[in-house]
Amino acid sequence: MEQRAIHGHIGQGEIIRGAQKLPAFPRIVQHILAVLDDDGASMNDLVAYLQRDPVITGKVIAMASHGLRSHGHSEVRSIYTAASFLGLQKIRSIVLATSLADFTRRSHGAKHYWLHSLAVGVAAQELGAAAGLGNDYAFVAGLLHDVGQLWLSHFHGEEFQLVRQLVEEHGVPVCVAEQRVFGIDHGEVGRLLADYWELPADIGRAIARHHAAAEESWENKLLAAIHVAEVISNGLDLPAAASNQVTHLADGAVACLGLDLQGDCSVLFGRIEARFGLAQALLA
Amino acid sequence: MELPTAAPQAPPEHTPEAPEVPEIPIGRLRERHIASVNLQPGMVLARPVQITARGVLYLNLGAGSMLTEDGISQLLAHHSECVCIVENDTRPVEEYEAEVAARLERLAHIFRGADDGAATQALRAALESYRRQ
Repeated sequence: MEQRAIHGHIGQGEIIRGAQKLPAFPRIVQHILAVLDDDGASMNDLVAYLQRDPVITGKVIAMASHGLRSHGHSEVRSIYTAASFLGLQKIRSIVLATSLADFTRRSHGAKHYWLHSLAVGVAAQELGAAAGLGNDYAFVAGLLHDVGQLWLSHFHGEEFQLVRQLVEEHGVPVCVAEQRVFGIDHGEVGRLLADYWELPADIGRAIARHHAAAEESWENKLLAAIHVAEVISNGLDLPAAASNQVTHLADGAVACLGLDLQGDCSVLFGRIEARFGLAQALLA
Repeated sequence: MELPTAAPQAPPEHTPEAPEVPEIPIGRLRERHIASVNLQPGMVLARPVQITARGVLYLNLGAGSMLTEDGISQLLAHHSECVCIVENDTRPVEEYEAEVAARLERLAHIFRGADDGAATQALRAALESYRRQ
């Protein structure tokens, strides 16, 4: 296989022009990330914001109703009751996941792509919480870690299939295969998209480098969380897929998070599986 | 924030729900995590659940507490996402062993191209231990 790009180098300009043709990125994501530290105001603020979006409002009410109905309470009919029952953190997660799921659907992303993103988001949130990271940053970075693949498959579907072939039939690492075909890998495409959507720079960095490069210094907990989350979700077979594979977990990323893999990991694994199962049932 | 801890603890004096003796027959037991919205009365906590917010302990249920409808409502009211329960494992030994063997085979397939780095192999060992449960 030649080392030069088969398709021809995809540059920043093409990626941004492509992003402009994608469905609008949900502004609520930037909004939630912007008001993270404003605990007092953010619940009312968020509910007011939510009311403008009937699809997300419906999902939030449905999730609250699921919890209450299963224990004999009456159905939830208002977004305020739902918000009060679910709590701020859960509402944020539902809104982030719902809006990004909708964005993926409208961008013609495959169902497996979305479920994989959801699993990595949940795992990153669990790892992030244990490592003292902001929940929502880890969740959003996890949900968006492969958004570069969404872009590549949307605008260069045939070449993207060639990448899949190189990975699945010839064992070529995905970033190497993408560099060969496109002259850029999905992490870098994702970072350019995150910049274009004005997401925090930390999220862009984590998206760009989540496939552990050997030279990575692993000082950034968010980046470490996304790398470890993706490996663990593949190890747990979430979502189940023949192609799931673990090839490398970076020692430095594990150390950066203070994760003790020699100890009892059943709580971490159990929580990730249980939360992913529920999210898949209610959101996917 | 929900802080599941590994070591069983005695419940404090003012536990909202008094712990009861679990009615689990002596035999093989298994633990599993379950989303709190899917909890049912009669389920037994495998690990203690402590729910705190801003340094205040709001709910503390000890390992072995049998959940009631009220206890589940309290967990949900405090936004608990999932808990670890223990239940009687009713699978025949042969079925249990076949399930574990299938899980380990699947894990071996997932790690088919894994390197021999310390973290990679530690994760594999941790997942094998988890899949044996």
